[in-house]
Order: sequence, then structure tokens, then C-alpha cells
Amino acid sequence: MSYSFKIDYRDGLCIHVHDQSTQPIEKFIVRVFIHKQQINKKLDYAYNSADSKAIIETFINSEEFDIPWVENIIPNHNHIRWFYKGFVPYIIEIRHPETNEVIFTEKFDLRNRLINFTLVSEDPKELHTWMCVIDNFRKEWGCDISIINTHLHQTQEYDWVTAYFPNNAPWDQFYAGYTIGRFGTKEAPDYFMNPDGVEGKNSLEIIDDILNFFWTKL
Amino acid sequence: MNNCLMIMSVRNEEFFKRSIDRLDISKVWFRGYREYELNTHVNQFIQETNFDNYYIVSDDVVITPKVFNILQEALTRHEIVTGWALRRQNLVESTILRQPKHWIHCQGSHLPTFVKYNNYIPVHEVDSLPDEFEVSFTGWFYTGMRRHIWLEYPYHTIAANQGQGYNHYLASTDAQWANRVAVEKKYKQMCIKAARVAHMSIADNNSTYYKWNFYKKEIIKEFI
Repeated sequence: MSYSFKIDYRDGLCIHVHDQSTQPIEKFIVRVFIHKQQINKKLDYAYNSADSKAIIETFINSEEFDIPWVENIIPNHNHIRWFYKGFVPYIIEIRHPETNEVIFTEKFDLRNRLINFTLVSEDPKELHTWMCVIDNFRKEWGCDISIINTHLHQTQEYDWVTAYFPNNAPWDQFYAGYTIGRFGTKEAPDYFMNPDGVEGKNSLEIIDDILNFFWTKL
Repeated sequence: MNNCLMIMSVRNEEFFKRSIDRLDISKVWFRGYREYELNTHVNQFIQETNFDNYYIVSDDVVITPKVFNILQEALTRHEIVTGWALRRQNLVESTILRQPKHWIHCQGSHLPTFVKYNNYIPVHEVDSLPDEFEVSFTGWFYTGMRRHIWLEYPYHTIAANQGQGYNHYLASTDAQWANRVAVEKKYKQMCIKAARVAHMSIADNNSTYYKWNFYKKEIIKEFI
């Protein structure tokens, strides 16, 4: 066997398959599952008497299970990319096309990894809201964070960030990446980027959708 | 203890400089040198200075002051300490290698290199390790040790020159050094589990993010 598979979570999901042997497998069956956690919870603002606000999360209950997402056949020395960009805890399974034997599995695992967030906004209040949620995300998953945003690159105000970069920096040395912002138009939302659209959504709901829609909300 | 951090720097990345500036320790930057070119400079620097301990790191590894202080404390109890990281962000393996020795085979006509990629501890298994444990590879992930150990086991490389093609990547000073110490068993290389650092690197031959600068060579001392 001389298979090699590369799973890239930096811009959606991309799976490369290679068999370098003298009689290579011509194509591979790739199955992608979502490890879902059905959580009934709610993010909300909490105000105190000094008129400052914090983000609170109210947990109700949860259940975990894996559901099939897609199945594709990828020819040898090729790759396939799925363009949905939000956070999804994928499970990848690659099978032999003739024997149906599972020859590779990988579970998306953020722990100890560097995760990049590209924040498309220059509004300090909105950025602060998103950074609070990202800090919670960092603590929940045990990962490191890099940030692409010109305003935050200038201020560097959050100590827990491992690295800041300005907008459009070609930074690519991370495990998985997410872009937070409002994309598309009111008439034509970009559901690859904002899975529940943007109409009527506040800053908190925008990032909550991107990080939780397919994982806990749907 | 009066310690010094030796930095192998060819990338000139702002995030790395920021992380280094937050550390309360004397530093020396070896800028613009390839790994094999530092044979002379690193050893000469240690011989000509008199710090208690010397750390070594390359400039794609980020540490927080809190984690660095954990290493500093551990270095008061152990003669060699090291942090650890993922080998690359998109690989499963950590830099933690616990096999008793490295294997060596020859590649090409004359360059010996290590078979060193087989038994690294997967990152998801690191939690099950003790808080401090002996390793046979440090990877220069904030590896610190006593001055006399640096003098006894100096920095040196496999390659005596740049080599041809792929061979110029084979300096492997970390593996060379760690293997000698592991085989002779005189000192223990202690990995500190809480000293996880961020290795800002992926295994991707197509990535062109880092711009390595080998043209301006300088040694910058920032002693406190």
C-alpha cells in the first residue's frame, strides 16, 4: 500500500487522494460525516447595573451523533473541495472501491491546533463581540488562534491571540480557518458563508451561525 | 538563574518578534543563517558568554510568557528541558519522541540521515502522558539546558555545506544533538507537558507564505 491522503480544513473542506503504487487504485470512495451535537442553548447579552454588557450562554440539554454529509468518488491523484465555510466537526472515511474496506479515517480535531479567523469588519464593537465568542471557542476546544483583521492587527489588544495579520495577508500556516462577516446581499445571501443568511442578524448571531449552525443548531 | 535564548531567525515575522519581546530573558538573534551555517556561530557564542542555561528555538515557534515561565521553573530542577508542539499544523504527530534511540541510515552517496518520522506521539495521546517525561528528541522547541552540556554536546549538523537539491534540508541539528544525548544516556532530555508551544507551520510544499531571507546575516545581542 502506498496511499496518501491529505485533508485540508483551511478553506472549506478539501480532500486529496494519491496512490503511488505500480498498480494504483483508480478511484477512492470518500464519505464525509458530521459529528453533531444537538444542544439546546442560547447566546444572549446580559446587562448589569453599570450599563455594561456581557455574553452569556444558557445551556438546556444535548445529544451527540454522527450523520452522513456527502459521498463522492475521487479519481486517483485528484482532490475535491466542498465550499461550505462554516465550522463543522467532520469525520472523513475513505474506502477501497472494490472491497469497500475502510482504508483511512480522520476526525476533525481542533485540540492543540492553530485556528485562523478572518474577521470582515472594522467596527470595534462588532469585533469585540466576535473576539469574545472566539475566546470562548478557544477555551472550549483547547486550540490556538490567529486573527486576520487590520484593526485588530493594529491594536493587538487580546493577549490570548497567538498571531495577528492585516487584511489580505496570505497567512496559511494553520489547521482550519473561518471567515466571519456578512456576505452576499439581502436578495441573494451567501449560504456557504452565512448558513442562515444575514437578514435581521446582530453581530452575535452572525458568528453564532458560522460556528454552530451545522454543529449544534440545525 | 541567568539564562539566554538563542533564536535561529530567517523569516522576520512580526508575530514571532511580538512573542519574543514579551519574554523576560536575554536573547541573541542569529539572523539570516542556514542551519548548517550556525555550527561555528552558536558554539562560539556559548564559549564566549557565561550564562547558566541556553535555550534554542527557530522563528516559527510561538510561546506565551506563562508557558515560558513553566520551562524556566523546570530548568531549575532538570538539566535539559524542552517544550513540545505539533510537528506541523496539518499532521497528527506531536514532536514528542520516546523511543530510546534514533535509527540512522544513509541517503545518497555520503549523507547519513535519521529515520525519525515513525514513532512520534500523536497529539491526541499527549494528555495521557505524565506531567514531565524523558524524550529522545527535543526539536529545538524552546529547548534549554546547562552551559556545560552545550559545551559537551555542541550544536552540529549532518551536512557540512548546503548540499544539492533536497540535501540542503538535511542539517537536522535537533536530531543530531538529541540522538547523541539519548544514546549516551548521560543526561535526560525532559519534556514538560504543560509547555506546549504553537508551531506556526504546515506540511504543504505549495505554500509560499514564508519568505526566508538568507542574504543579510547578522548576530544581534539583547542582554538584560
